[in-house]
Amino acid sequence: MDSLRATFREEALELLSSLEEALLGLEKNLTDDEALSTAFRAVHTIKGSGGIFDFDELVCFSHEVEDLLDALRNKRLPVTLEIAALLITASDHLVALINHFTTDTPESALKHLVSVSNTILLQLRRLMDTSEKAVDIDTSALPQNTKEAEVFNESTHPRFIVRLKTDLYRHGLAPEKALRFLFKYSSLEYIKLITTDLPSAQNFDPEDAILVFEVAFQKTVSHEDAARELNEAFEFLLSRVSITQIAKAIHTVPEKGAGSGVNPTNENKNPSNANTTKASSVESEQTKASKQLRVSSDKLDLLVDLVGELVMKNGTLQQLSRETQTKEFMRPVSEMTRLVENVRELAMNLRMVPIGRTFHRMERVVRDAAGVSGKMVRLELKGEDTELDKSVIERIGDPLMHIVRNSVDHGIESVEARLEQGKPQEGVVSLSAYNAAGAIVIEVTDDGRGLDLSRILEKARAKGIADTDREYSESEIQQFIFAHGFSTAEAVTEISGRGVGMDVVKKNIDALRGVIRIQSVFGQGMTLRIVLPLTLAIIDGFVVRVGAQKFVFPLESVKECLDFSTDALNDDTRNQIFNLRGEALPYTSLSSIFNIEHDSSERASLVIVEDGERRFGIVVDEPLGEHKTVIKPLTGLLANLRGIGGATILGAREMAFIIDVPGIIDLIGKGRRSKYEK
Amino acid sequence: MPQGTFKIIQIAAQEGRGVVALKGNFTIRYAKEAFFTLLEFFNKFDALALDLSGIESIDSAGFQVLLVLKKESEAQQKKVKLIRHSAPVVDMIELYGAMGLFRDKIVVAQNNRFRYGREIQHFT
Repeated sequence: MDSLRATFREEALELLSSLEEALLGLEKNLTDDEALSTAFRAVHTIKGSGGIFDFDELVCFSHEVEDLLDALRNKRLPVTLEIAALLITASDHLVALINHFTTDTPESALKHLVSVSNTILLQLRRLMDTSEKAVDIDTSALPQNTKEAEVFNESTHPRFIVRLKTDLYRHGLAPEKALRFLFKYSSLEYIKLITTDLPSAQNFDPEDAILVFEVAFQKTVSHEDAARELNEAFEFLLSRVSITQIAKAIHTVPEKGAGSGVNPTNENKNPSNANTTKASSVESEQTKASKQLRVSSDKLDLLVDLVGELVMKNGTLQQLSRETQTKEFMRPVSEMTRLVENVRELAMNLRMVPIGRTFHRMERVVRDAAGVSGKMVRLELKGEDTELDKSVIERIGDPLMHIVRNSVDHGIESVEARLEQGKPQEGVVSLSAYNAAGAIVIEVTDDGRGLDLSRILEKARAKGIADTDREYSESEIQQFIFAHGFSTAEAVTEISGRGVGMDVVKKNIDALRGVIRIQSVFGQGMTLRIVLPLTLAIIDGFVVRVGAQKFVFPLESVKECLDFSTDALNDDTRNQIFNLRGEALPYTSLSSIFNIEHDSSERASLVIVEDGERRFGIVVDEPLGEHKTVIKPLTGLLANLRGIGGATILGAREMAFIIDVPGIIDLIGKGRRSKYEK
Repeated sequence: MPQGTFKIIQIAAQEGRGVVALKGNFTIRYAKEAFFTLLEFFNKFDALALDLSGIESIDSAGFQVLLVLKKESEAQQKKVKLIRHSAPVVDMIELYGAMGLFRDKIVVAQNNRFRYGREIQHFT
């Protein structure tokens, strides 16, 4: 039973996530019918599944939400901002309910949840006009323009004017009965009182019957039938009323666009059409869904591990085949290698997930943060198809959320401030993701106020994070925002500003072995760039040797490998520049970075690496060629080595360190900076 | 056929504003008397509120009286407001599709939903 509940939970939360997305879209575009349909289906499914498990409160609540969504999608009720916002609140509550029923929360918590349900449902019912309490209808809020009413009076309705003759009441007759008859038994469209001829008080004899009204029938009724029905209703009054026909029914279908807002097709006219289109779209959804499969990530991990072993063993085979040089052996091995390569790629792809889902969660974050602070902010997304390893996606969500919240809360200015500066009143936060040279780059950009470096330095000095008697470079000051306990917010806002944020973000990024860089122009905006290494378990590697130690570079980050003259390299200095076809390329050596003993008289090679924005040359003793590398993570004391992204076994029981390129470039950079400061 | 009773009572008056309650059967039998009584109140006050909660039944004749009064109030730019409509009153208003004419806040009691559709109208 527990595994069923877990599956229900997983599916429900996924549904709720797409529900939220649909509702956010609806809030932005009130006529988004597709979003309405998606929302309806999501709630409908949750209600159904909840019913299977006897989660009563969930079923009752979602039933009423489903009712509202149904009324909206069938146009019985118009979508308004108020309704959209209420639906979003309702979807949040659904999450709370799901959480209650699928985790081990105490029964007593249900009471509170039920009262929240009731509060939301009260508002919902009021909006749907089905309240059991008195409903206040202020007709003064209705449009005063009679044109609105006249839209209805298309000449396609048979219309009549009924005029009561003055002595109708004196004959003891009551027209109400006739009217009620019309309502009950005829194809009446409406009755409308006509007030042009109402007498003034001075000229009014209350015993005279003075009422004049218009009676309109449904469009589908012929004028003969309408007249007949009218006569039938006023049968007993006929001598005391005068009936004039003012409009006949026209039975041609109006051309498209001719009707000003009145839909020519009767809703009931083409039920089959409506149903088939609905059915076919549902069907394509189903076939799409059936082509997807749920797989437990544990199974996937196991598969990736096994494929990794497969790759390594195949590597050994390859080496042996090279050594034996036996044709009968070499050919099957080469075919085997090809197959293994395909399997590896496929296995790797199984774990890759597009970042779009995570990005879309930020819509809610921006909306809520902007709402609380009263700012206008728009979120733009790019590169949603960029894929990341599942484990990375799971851990990048929280830091991203905090960065986005920060952008809205501290970066984007208020509407007034923005207008003063000549900026558009709506601020923009953009999220983008792209692949670059063996890494994933995620950028968060805002067009807000950017970093105020002088204030940051001041604050850092006040908190003892920075020395008061020292000058700092721009990038150093930027880094202060990642310091623990740092915050320049005037007041701790509801969203952020407690100073626990950015340092935690950096820690999370560090844990993913990524780096986070800042670009900011005061007054214009800021970009936070996160570079994450691809933590694929198996990568194409470029093996090199330094002294007795082997290292592997991720092949994607290696741009070139050149011969290098040892005369130029001096192990003491770290700031050598190499002339690469006219380009100034800074370089250093692995031996100096990691303090490896080696014979510096050997011929050396220069490996040029790049991490998406920075390029460096790294001198090694000997390049050893490409190698399929299975990344084995380093644990324990070795886990946080900067510049090292894991280890691997090479062929015959030899171990090599895998270089973490962004990390090592960082290291080199730091070393060079500190050299200048000494 | 019992015709019932009908009376109009002043229930509040303050600085040119008055509240008057109509009680009983607002039908053809009492239409004339009711109209002239109401006219008196109408002339007496600058703003008049008619409390209709006590109306047990109303017919077209009674309805007319309210209509004429309302139109007169617009013509003379005085305020006449209908308040606390009883169910029969709302029914009548709905029947004639006259919701828009009264443009007062109509508090609709339970189950008394608008069955007859809404139209927006002006006194023309």
